[in-house]
Amino acid sequence: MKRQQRIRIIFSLLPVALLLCFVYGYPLIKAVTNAFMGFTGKSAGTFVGLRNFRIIAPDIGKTIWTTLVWTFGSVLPAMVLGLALAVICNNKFKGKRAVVAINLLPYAIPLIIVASCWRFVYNSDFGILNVLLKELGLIDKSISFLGMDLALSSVIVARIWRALPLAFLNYYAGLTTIPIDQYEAASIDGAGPVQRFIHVTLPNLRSVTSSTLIVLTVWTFLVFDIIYGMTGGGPVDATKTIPMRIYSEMFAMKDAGTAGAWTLIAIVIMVSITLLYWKLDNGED
Amino acid sequence: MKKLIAIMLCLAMVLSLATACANEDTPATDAPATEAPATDAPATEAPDASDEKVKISVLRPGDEEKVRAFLEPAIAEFEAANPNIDVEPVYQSWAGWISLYPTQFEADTQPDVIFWWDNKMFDASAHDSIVNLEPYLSEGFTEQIPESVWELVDCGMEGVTYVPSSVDSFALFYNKEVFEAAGLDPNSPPTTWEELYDTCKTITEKTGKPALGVPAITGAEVLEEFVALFVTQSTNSNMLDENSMPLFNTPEGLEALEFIESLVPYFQPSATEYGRGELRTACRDGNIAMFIDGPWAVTTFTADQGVNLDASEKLGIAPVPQKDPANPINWSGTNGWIATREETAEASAKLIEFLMSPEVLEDHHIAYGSAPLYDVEFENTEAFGYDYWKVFYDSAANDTLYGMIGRNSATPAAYYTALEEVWQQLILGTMDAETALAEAAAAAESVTVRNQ
Repeated sequence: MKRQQRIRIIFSLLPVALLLCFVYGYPLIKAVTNAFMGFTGKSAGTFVGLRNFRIIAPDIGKTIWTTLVWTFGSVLPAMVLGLALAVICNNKFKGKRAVVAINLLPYAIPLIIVASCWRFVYNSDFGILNVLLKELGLIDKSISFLGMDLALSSVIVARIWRALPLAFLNYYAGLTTIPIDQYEAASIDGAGPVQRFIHVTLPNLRSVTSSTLIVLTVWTFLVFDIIYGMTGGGPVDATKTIPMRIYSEMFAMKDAGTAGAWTLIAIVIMVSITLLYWKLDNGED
Repeated sequence: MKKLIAIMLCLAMVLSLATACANEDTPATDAPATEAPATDAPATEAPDASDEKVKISVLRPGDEEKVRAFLEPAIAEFEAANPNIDVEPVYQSWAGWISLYPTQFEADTQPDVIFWWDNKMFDASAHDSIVNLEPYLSEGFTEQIPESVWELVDCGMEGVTYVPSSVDSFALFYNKEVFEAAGLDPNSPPTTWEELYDTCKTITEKTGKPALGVPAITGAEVLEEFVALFVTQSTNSNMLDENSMPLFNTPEGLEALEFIESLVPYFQPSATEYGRGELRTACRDGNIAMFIDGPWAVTTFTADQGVNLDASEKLGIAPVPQKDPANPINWSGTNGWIATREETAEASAKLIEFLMSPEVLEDHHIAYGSAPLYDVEFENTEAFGYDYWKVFYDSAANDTLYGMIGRNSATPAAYYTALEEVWQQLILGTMDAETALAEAAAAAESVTVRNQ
């Protein structure tokens, strides 16, 4: 490539590079530096070392655990169910289009509306779930789905419902690209439906699985709206994930330092998970 | 074709940006209506000469329909009487305003006159903007507000920085039908802690229903205020001192928490799913027997029973039970007016005085369901000619009042967040009173220490 051409390419990419630095780079650097700065009282505007981490230290273990349970508890079932639905919809049957459309419906609903709807579903007094269970004679007293013991599981179910369409869509698109002759060859070799699924379908969906897993993990890890709308992070700390902690530190405590500390923890975990996924994926290659 | 599409997209992007950045004069939107230039300059035009019009903006957060109902006629009347002052109303929901005000104060685009909280006078975002109105208010203006209310809102700032407009003290709301079903006299609600405990026990044992509703939903301020009622009744002091250090870590504070702990078996199940709104309907429908709330609950009851609740055979309102009936103490929250710019302080003070005139204040209270603040409001017998309003008024005028937590702190909301987890555990019965007291004191101290 000629020097002049290189210069032209560099200059043409420069505006985008600057824009990206501004949009992504600056907030990232700011979030990281905030974690080591004071924002309250006498320490405001000064470097405070690890003070912000010391303040949040008692909550770090429990919050990370809750966040991981929330993330993987939502993502893995959503992927499995999405795959199952995609396999079903990959067959020809009457009303297939309607089923596909219904499967995609949750994805069209804003998260905060999803949260409100599910809150009503779980309500102890008039929630449809409790009413249904009572009508069926399965329970006498209402179950407190958003109480201390079940709150995390309940918000996870809502998240699965919301995440499922993405997994379904990706797998459904992936299934349509698998060459039919691979299935025919496997059948000729005597493979049954389960063997065809394990030895033909799954290997062909590996890249789809990998990308969907990364996207859903990152999105779910950072989801705030569903938990905020359904439980507000409570009761007590039952559903306090890292994004809930960031919100609480930033807006209730008005401490961008401790919010930055939580953000840095989130970044480290996210990067670790993503690297792990890539490593596993490359390892299998 | 591709070039054409690219050009069209670029044009659309530029137009979108230009539209988004435009400074439109749209008072009914989320943005404040003041003519704020997109610079650091103050949002309001300061007068250079005495005959020049002063423009001020006023915000009363809340349901826009209700706010418009009293604010727009009041502004029209005020402008007619003060032709050199233009008043621009700004509308915001409470939730919208809570999330917006820090950035508005930071950018100096906040309205000139704001309906504010008495525990946010030292709020880090707003404190430096709040103006002392004393030099601008008419002589004798402050005397029309009861002394107990001034004491309640005194946060140590010099002069008159906050004019209380509504004083919302707690009362006991109860369902008479549940009382009757439990064999209790529906016209004798509990007046002391002992009676409250006995009533709760009898109701739950006889009817199987939860006796007392507790608002323990996450993310609201309601649980702290419920607990604070009992704690302040026991300690006869605010929750925090003027340095924002806890005052409740005492034997009296423990006594209050132990009393709350004794009531746990009689609270409604899944208490953390309930805010005040849910408790109002639950009591109205007879699913719980009693709950403690401010005058905001009256509208739920009057919608069901008509405005004359005194004659209701179903629902009743009574003073909150006291630890020591000889020295009645109540929790009370207030909202009131503040001015936020020196250059428009005179006009702002005039407007606040006008909004505090008995006629306008009465309309404000009727529109929003607040209890009367002035004695003369009771002359409107159609709205306030009922004994139940006296419950709130008498409490505000005669009881020792303790209010919202964190009034001397730069981060008042932080105390609610810090204490919430502890109080929820106490209410759910997963933490005993002694541990809750120690944990709550430590949580409050940690917030204060952060701000030092």
